[in-house]
Amino acid sequence: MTRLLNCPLCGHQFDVDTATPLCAGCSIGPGCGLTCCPNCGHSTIDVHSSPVAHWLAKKLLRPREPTPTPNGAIPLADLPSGSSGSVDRFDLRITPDHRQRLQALGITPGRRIEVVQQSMVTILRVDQTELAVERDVTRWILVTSS
Amino acid sequence: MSQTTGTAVSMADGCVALVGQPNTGKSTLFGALTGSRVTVANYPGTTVEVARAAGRQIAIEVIDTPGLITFPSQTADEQGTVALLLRESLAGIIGVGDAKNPRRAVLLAVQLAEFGVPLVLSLNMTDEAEFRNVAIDHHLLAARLGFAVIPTAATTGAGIAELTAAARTASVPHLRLDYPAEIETEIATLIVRMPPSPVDPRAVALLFLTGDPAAEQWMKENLPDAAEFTALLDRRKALQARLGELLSSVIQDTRLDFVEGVARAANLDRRSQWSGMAATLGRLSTRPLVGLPLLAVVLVAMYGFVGLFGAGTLVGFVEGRLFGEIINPSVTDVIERIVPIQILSDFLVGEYGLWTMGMTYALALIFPIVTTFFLAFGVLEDSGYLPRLAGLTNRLLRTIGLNGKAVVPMVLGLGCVTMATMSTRSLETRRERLLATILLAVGVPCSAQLGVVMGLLAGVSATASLIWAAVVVAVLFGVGWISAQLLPGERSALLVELPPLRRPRLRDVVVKTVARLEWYLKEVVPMFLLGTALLFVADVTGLLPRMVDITEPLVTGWLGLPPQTATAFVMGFLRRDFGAAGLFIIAADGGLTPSQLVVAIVTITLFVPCIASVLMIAKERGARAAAAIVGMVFPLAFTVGGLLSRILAQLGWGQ
Repeated sequence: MTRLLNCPLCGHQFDVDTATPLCAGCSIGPGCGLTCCPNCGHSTIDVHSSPVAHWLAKKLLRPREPTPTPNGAIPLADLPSGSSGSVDRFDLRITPDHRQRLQALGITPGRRIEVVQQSMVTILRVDQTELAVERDVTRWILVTSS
Repeated sequence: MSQTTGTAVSMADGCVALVGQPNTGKSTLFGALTGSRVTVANYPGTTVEVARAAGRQIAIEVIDTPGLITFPSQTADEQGTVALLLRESLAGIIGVGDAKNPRRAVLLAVQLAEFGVPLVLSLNMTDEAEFRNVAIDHHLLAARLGFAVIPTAATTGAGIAELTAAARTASVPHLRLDYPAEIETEIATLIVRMPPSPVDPRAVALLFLTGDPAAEQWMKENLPDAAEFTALLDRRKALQARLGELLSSVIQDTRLDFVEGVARAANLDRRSQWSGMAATLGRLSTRPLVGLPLLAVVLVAMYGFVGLFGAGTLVGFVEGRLFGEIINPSVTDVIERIVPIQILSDFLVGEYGLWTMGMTYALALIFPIVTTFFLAFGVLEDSGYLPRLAGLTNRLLRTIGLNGKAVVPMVLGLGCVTMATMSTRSLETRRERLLATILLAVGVPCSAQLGVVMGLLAGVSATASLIWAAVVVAVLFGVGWISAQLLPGERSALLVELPPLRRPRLRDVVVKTVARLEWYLKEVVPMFLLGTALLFVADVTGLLPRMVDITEPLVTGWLGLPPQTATAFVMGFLRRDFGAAGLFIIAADGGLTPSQLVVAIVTITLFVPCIASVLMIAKERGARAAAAIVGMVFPLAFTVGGLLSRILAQLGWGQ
């Protein structure tokens, strides 16, 4: 899983794991827990590198919303109840188990999907199938609204 | 390629398996095909154990399998189905699909066709499909797929004769999907290196490549040595790395593409809308504003039926009148007359007698409660309400590391913890199954115990009931939360199908209840008798007083209870409700203050689960887990009991 971080100084977005470390000329040396922006060099903290902070972040922060994609597909989790859309694709961050199960239950690209309810859990309908799905899954189902 | 192609195996004289997604009416179809009652209970989404019965028109034997959404298997139940397909030498498979959702039926059938045994697809529940204006040209579909497709409605019996006829003449399907070249090459290699299997090796190879746990297990057991298994795993890893995409996804995409083509050609996608009372009620039942009050109504109704009618009226009649006044005095009389030896007659009808204690508890006290509970649960289950309950309770169960699906074992645990422990198989991950098992063992009281506890608390005050409930619920959530933090792994998100709300059929509910009661009696009566016999031996040999002496300081000093309650705790080892029932007798003699009673009941509720459920935990989760759970529960129950005793003393309540 890629972990994206926004540099608080210059706004550059980068992948924590693949960004080239700038530790060579740094007096602290590697292994300090800080992450440096490859664009401007500003040191920032990746909260998920610390188990304690990661645990706290999971409890306190809402999961980052997936950003709308170029072709206008939005997460099913953001579709208001009563509306419908057609399945565009699955976000790559969905677990394979969930993706396979959803596909086997009839949620495949091009299918019309109807949001029956968004409170508590998402209740959605495809053809004659109704599913109760948690937000942790529906945010990875991308739909184009229609 | 396929070894079995062309061989004339007839479904008429072999073993046939029913395989289908959950909620497709497999068990009803099973009943229609065999004419016998389903001998094993079917939990929502799961046929917890496989049912077998002699076929009426086809097959010597028909097997009902747990619901399977798609290959590879994910839940323990699904793994059971795969294990069965790999181990039984099947004369054929009857694929069962929901006629309302033909695409889903076709996806599974296409995968079943790969197993190289004769196949028929039954599109079941056509009555519901017609009601919703879903019409399928099954001839067209059959022509596309290359095996028979028969519309059936198992509840009315429609299409069963046609299905039987088609099954008799079914042959091995010729359908063969072509996977990407690299995967096909690997399949060819695997087929050579794999142990011989009762089904087409191609299917087993595909299961292995998709990482199916049951198929891996089968390979491990049947390959000549472990090195070969590791070598095959390494080959799979290498192929995975070359493809760059998950193998199971690539394979599933190939299948989905094929299904898409079939769906277009056979015109499966005709839109239809439906509405009606059931649909409206179904929608409302998951909305918080309507759903939560509705849930309260359901719980109150269940309490009324099980708690008041079952544990009150029925037990009062059966135990008080039937056993207390009529059966037991005459049995005692007869036994004492025909058995001259004192110790033998005591063994049968004495204080800890097999009949007067064991059988009376089993039949007079517990049986009526369990019967009413299973009736109520059967109605809930068949109405399709339980998955909606999963949606409603999801948020609550999130806090203890589970998802809404775990509500079913929890509710079932209020009936019988042993059976509920078994039904945790429907949960997806090992972590969730273990969490649910811990909670069931710690603080979910079974109906037998609940009945006695309710009776005891009702005799004190409403406050007593509230204190008891609050402490037990708090401990339950506390233990759940801590366990969820300590156990490694992540929680899995809820993804559950909501079948339409249906009016439960009385016949099905009664049949299911009878099947469950049969299981319960077979499990419970020997345990009761064993427990009673142990108590008797302990009493005669003087061991009981010694055990009581040992626990007495704990019970009197720490819990602040009168010495004779120690007996109840020792009995609680043997069966949870034994302990509660023991307290009942002491309380009836006025030997306990309200405070002592509440402390005793809380401790007994949190106490070690009954022998049967410990054995079930060992069977399902392993001996180590069982030992750890028992080792944790014992100090926990006494710690909570002791603290409560001190808090109540400080508050000056019920002294």
